[in-house]
Amino acid sequence: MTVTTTVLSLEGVVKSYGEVPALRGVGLAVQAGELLTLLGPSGSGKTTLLKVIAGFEIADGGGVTLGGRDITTLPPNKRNIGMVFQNYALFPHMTVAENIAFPLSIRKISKAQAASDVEEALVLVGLAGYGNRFPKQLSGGQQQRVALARAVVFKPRLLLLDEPFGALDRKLREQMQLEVRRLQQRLGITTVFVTHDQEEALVLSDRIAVMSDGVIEQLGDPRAIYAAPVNRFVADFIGESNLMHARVNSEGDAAILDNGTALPLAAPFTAGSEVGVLLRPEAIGIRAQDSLEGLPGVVEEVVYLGSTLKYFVRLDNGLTLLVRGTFSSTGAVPGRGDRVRAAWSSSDLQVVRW
Amino acid sequence: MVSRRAPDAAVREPLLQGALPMAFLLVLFMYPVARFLLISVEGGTLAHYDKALLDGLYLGVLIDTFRIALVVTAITLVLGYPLAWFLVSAPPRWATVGLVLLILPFWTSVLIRTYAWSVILGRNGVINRVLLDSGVIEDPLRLLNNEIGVLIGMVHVLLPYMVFPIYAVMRRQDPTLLLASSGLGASGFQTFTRVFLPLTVPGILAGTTLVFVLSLGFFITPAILGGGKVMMIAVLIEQQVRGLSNWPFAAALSAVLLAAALAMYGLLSFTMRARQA
Repeated sequence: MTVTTTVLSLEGVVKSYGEVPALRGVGLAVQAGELLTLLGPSGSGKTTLLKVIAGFEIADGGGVTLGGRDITTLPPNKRNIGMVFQNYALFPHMTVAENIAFPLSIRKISKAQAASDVEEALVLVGLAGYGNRFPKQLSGGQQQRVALARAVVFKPRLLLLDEPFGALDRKLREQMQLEVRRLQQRLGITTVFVTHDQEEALVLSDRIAVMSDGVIEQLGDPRAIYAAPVNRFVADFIGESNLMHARVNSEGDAAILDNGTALPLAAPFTAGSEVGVLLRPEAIGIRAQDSLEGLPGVVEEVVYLGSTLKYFVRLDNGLTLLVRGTFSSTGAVPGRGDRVRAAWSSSDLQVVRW
Repeated sequence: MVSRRAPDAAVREPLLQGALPMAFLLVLFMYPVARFLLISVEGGTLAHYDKALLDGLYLGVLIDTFRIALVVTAITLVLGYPLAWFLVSAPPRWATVGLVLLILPFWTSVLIRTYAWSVILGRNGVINRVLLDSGVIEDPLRLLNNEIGVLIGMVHVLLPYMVFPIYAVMRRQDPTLLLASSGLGASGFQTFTRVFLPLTVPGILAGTTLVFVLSLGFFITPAILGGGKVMMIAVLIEQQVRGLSNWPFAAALSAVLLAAALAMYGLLSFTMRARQA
């Protein structure tokens, strides 16, 4: 059992814009050195929460504590938090070195010390020798590295990343994600990361807080969030899913889908409750038509995704399932219009709150 | 890349298209300038320039003109910069009201506005009446027919020319830069002096140049509110032409004014280019 220290803690944070509630009681404890992701669709309140942490918005209610100190109403310049903005927000009239030195000169650190800190930060983000360039002379990825260097050079208590990869193309984005993760672990800096991209969240995070409608729906490590979503919002938002509305039968051992199909449950559930039945696409197997397993249906569409395939299978009972499969060793792939059977084990059926 | 072997027609076309506007500009703008420059050296002598730049009396007018232009520029900058900031940062409704108030006088002639000032600033004007009646002063303030009146009138007319370039540059700034600065530890004052002010310098340069150049050639306001006691170069030129029919000397004075304006413009573009490099 490792001892963890809470660096940032939020308690019952409430914030509204006029009549519109943006945060409706958010509690969260971020541990030293971890990267915690606030994940949610736009309008879920994740960005507002980040602003409350940074001090750009003051919470209407609740408290924010950083390093044991109440910072709920402290202005941003007194918080000692580094932040990387979505558009990087580099000062266009300053060179790369001047940008990175900015927080140091504000803190009245000696010129010589600042120069060596800046140099170190440039090396850290792989931009040694770029100090004299201006931001507009750099590519998007390089600008982001500068923003990152500027956000960590003054050794802040906390690093905030506000959707920093949105503007980069896919390949660069994946590279930067890994670099940021490596840098974060190397510095051991406690980090709160905001994104709407669930894949990005799964790649980067120690823990993910899934947000919707101003509250945290679920908090956990990426595996737990993916494997055991607590409700239909999380199940639907994280990864691809087949999510079906159902009602648990009176014995509590099967879920009855809206079309009447009974799906046996591996573990008993409250009888009569309204639930969602989640079946991940990779848990479904495609079998030959004459197989004894699974339910019969017809392949409606096949999508090739390089290493994997996506099928849409319309079952004879009316359900349409998304199935993710790999090429079988025989190389035979069912095509559009083929009759197949879709099979899964009842242990792969997960029941979540509707 | 333009091919050097493009068909003749394709080359001639833009030339023809450019010819007409060019002729228009030459006839309407370049010709008058060339004409007065020629008049200023009439008889093949530079004596008029000699008089304009070296005679103590006229040199004094020139210096006064520059001094007044400088003071007007400084006052409009001090008033205009915060005003531009208000227009950018105020809630939209207030900003609209501010913009309308600023633009509205543009639709009134300078002549009318200047006469309005003489009503306000005179011995029995609004300002003196209020101050006398309320007992703040015992003798009326002399606000008219002197430099104070000229300065007030010129600042009023020229303020928008300072505000709009600065406003335009402020509008262009990314507001997240200010958040970033604050997040990195800078106080409001530090954010202003180290981030916002440097980024809005292009607006300050443009507004300053515009107001200064316009001030140098200002005529109506000094003529009316100065009451003949404040001599600026444009007023002098008018006297030389209308009163004394001394066209060559008036032309030489105009050439000096033009040179000063061009020098200001040159200085501005040089500074801008130096900043960009």
